[in-house]
Amino acid sequence: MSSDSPQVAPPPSPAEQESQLNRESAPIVPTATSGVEKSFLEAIYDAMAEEMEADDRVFVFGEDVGHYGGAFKVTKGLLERFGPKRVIDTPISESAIVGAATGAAIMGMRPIAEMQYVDFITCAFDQLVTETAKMRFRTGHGVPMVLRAASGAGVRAGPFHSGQPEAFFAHSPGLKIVIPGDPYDAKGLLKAAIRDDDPVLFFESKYLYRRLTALIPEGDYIVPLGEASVKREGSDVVCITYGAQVSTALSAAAALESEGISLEVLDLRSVVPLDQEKILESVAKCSRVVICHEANPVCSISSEVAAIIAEKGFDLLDAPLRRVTSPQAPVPFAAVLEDAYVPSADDIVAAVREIAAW
Amino acid sequence: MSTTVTMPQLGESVTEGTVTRWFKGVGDHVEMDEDLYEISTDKVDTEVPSPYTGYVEAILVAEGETVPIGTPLCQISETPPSTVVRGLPRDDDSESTLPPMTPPIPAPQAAPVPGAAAPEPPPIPPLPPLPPAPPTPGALPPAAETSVMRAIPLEDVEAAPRADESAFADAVGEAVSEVESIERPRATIRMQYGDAQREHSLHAQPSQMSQPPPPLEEQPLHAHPVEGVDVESIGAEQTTKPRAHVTAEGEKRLAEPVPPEELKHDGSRRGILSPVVRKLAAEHNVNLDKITGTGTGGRVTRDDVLAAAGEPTAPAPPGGPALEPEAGVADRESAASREEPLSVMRMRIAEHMRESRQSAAHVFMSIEVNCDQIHQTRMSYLEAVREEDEISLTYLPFFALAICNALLEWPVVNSRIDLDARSATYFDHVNLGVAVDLEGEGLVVPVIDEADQLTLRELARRIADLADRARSKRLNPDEVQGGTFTITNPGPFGTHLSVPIINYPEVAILSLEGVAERPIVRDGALAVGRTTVLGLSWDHRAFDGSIAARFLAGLKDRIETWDWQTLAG
Repeated sequence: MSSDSPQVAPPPSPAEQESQLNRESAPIVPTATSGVEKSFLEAIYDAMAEEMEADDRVFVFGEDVGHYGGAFKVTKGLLERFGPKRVIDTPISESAIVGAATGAAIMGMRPIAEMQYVDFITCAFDQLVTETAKMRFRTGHGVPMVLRAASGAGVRAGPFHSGQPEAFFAHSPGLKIVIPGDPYDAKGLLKAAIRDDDPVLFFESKYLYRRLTALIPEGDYIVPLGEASVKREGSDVVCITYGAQVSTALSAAAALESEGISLEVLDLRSVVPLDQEKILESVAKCSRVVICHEANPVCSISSEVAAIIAEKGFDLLDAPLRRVTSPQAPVPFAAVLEDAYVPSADDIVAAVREIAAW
Repeated sequence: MSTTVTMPQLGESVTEGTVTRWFKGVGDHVEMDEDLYEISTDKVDTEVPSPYTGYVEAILVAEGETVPIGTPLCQISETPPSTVVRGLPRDDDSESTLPPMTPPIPAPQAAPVPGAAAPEPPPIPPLPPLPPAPPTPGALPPAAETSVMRAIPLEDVEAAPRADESAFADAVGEAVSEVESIERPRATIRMQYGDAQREHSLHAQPSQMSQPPPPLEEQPLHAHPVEGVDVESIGAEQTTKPRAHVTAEGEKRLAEPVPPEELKHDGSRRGILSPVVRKLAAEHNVNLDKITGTGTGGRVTRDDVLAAAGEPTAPAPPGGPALEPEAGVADRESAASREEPLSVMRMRIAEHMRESRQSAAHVFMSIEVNCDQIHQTRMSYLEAVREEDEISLTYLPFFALAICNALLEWPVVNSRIDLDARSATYFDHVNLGVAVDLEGEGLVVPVIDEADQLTLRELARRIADLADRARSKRLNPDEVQGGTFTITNPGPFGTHLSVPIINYPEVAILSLEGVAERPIVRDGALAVGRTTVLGLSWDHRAFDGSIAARFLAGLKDRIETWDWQTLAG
C-alpha cells in the first residue's frame, strides 16, 4: 500500500450505481411460505456467497475462515469458490483483523471480517471503538464493513467462548449492531449489513447454527437494518427480545396460550439502532412488557429498551415491566449451571404470568 | 443390566464421527477409562476411553463406519455374556469356575437409534434364552444355542485364538455387518431445543437413555448436516429448575403476584392507578370510583377502563373538567341548595356500602315470625332487668340469642368467602355485630365477641353498653371490627320491611323489623298476635337460597318455640 495519505475510494460508476440501486430495492419478503429449508448457518453462508458473487469488493477474512472453513464451518466452501484473494486466513490477532477491515473499508472495499468467538472482540476493542466507530464523525467517510461473530451460550463452551457483548458496543456511537433470531432474518440482515455504508456488527448465535431451520425464498431479499418484527401477535403482554431468545419466547407463548394469556413476541433484530416506533406500538397494544435476552442485565439492551419505554411510553403501561435475563455473572462452564443461566421458556412464562396478574 | 456407549460430540461443529478402530471385542472385559475405540472427526482423531467397567456385550457400529453424534456404538454389560467366546481361555480368569449364570439380558430394542426411521427403530436381533446350566470351562454349548454372537460361526472362533485380533475382528465384523444390513437410513438430527437437548452429555448415563430422544424424520445427509427445532414443543417437557437470576426476594415476588408493600392497609389495591388507566380515564371521561377493578386486589386495570368507556352513560370524573352548566340552571340550583363537606364517617360508610354492593351478590329473603312468646317473657322480666341492670330490656337480646344459636347450626351463614383463594372460612364462634344508629349522623357496628357464649341477660347488658358508648363515641377500635355476622334493628321505628346491605366481608345480615300486633290466623280463625318480619340479605356467592330459607325457618322455630322464660332467668 502506498505511504501517502489514504485515498478516498472513487465514487461508483453509473453502472455500479445502477446495480447497487437495483439490489438495494430488492423486495422485502416479510415471511416466507415457500422456498428451500436452510439452517441458520447455511443462510449466513448463502448471504455471504451471494453478495460476494454480486460485488467484487466484498471479501471475507478471519481466523480459519479459508482452508478450515471456519471453526463452525460457516465459511466452508467460500475459498474454493472465490479463491484466496477473497477468502483470507488471518493471524490470530483480532485487533489486526478489525484494523485491517477498517482500512480496507475506507479504501473502497466491503470486508466481512470474522471474530471466531465474539468474546475475542475485546482484543479489538480499541480499533473498533476508537477508529471504526468514530471514522464517519471525524472524516465524513463511513466504514462499510461487517464484523461477524459467533456469540451466545448453551454449547458448554465456558465463560470465554459464550459471550453476548452487544451492550459494550451499543454504548459507542457509530456502530450498528444486528442480532438475528432465525435463518430468514439472518440472511436478509447480513445482506443489508454488507450493503450498508456504516460498520455493522453481526452477532450470530452459535447455539442456533444447526438447531434452527426455516424456509428461505429463492432470489434476492434483504431485511432492513433498524426494523423490529412482530414474530407473534398477542394482546395481553409483549415479550421484547432478540437472538436465540426469540425461539424461547415463541415456545413460552405457546405454553401461555393454554392459560389464556396472549403473548406478543417482538423480535428487535437490530439492537442498534433500536426500532423505537415498533417497540412503543407493541407496548401501546399490550400495556404490559417483559424484555428478554441472554446477555447480562446491567446496562444492557433491555436497560435501554426499558428507558425508552419509561421516557416515551410512560402512559402506555398498565403494570411495571420485567426483564428476563441471565444473572450478572459470566457464563458458567458446568452444564447444569449453564442451563440455569440462560433464560428459558419457563423463566419467561413465570415473568409473563406475574405481569399479567399485576 | 447393560448400558449403551454413544458417539460423543468432540467439538461444537462436529455432527458425526467415524469409528476407526475397536480396541475391544465382543465379550471382552473393559475397565472404565480404558481405551475402548478410536474415532475420527473433522476436528480431531482420538482414542475414546470406556465410560463403564464391564463386558462388551455388543458392537453396533463397525470400523470405518461414520455415524451421527449420539448413535449407540456398543453395549457394555455388568455381567459377562455367555457366548462361545467364553469357552476360550481368558487372561483374567483367575477363578476355576465361571460366575453363575444370570437371566438372559434382553436386546436393547427399546433404545432408539438417533439415525432410525420414526416411529419404529430397527430391531436388533433379540437374544435367544441362554441355557440354564453354566457351561463347564472348556466345553462349548451346542451351536444352536449360541447367543448374541450367533453370526460368528463356531469354527471361526475356535480356529482363531484370542491373540489373533484380525480374525477375531473379522468375525466381529461379520456379526456387526449382519446388524448393519438392517435398513437404517441416514437422517438429520432434529434436536430438541431446551433442557432435553442441553442435558445430552458426551457419555449418556443410563437414566438419560431411558428417555429416548424424539422421533426423527428421514432425510438424506448432505454436506451441512442440519438440526431442526421443534418450536412448538420447546419448554413443553422442561422440568422446573431453579431460576438462577432470581434472588430470594424475587422468588417471593414471583410467588405472590402482588408485592406486600403495595397493598393498602385494608388489603385493597383499588387506589393504584397505572399510567395508562389515568390517561384512558381522562380521555374517555370515566369515573374511576364507579368501576369495579378486576386486577389483583381490586386494582382497576386498563381493560376495566376501556370496558367502562364503552358504556352509554359515563359520568363525568369528579374534579375533572366539568361540562359547562347552562347559566340559568346553575343559578336556580345554587339559590335553592347549599354545599357541605362530607364527614369522614360519611365517606367511609359510602365507600363501605359501595364496596359491599359491588362485591357480594346480594339476595334478600324474609320470614314472618310470631313473637308472642318472647313478648310475654320480655314483659315479665322488664321490671327486674331495669332494677338489676339499669337497662331497658328490648326484643333485641331475644333475637340475638336465637340468632347466635341458629348460626352455630348453619355456620356457612357465619362464614367468610375468598374467591381468589378458592376457600371459605368457618368460625366456631359468633362475633355478633349490632348496628347502632348515631342520631342520624351515621351508623357504627360494635361487635360482641363470642356472643354465642352469653346468656340472654348478658347479651342485654352488652348490647345496652355498646349502644350507649357508641352514641357517646367511647368505643374502642377493636370493638368495631372482627364481626362474623351483623344484625340491624330498625324495628323501634315501626318499619315493615328493609333490605339491608351486607356488612362486607361477612356473608349475611339480618334486619329486625317492628314487633307489633297484627291480625293472624289461629286455628282457622282470625286472631291478634305480635309478629315481626326478619329480613336476611345474604351473599349468594357463599351459599344458596335453601340454606337461607332453612336458617330463617330455624330462627323462626327458636323464637316461637323456645322456653324463653327459662332462658331469660
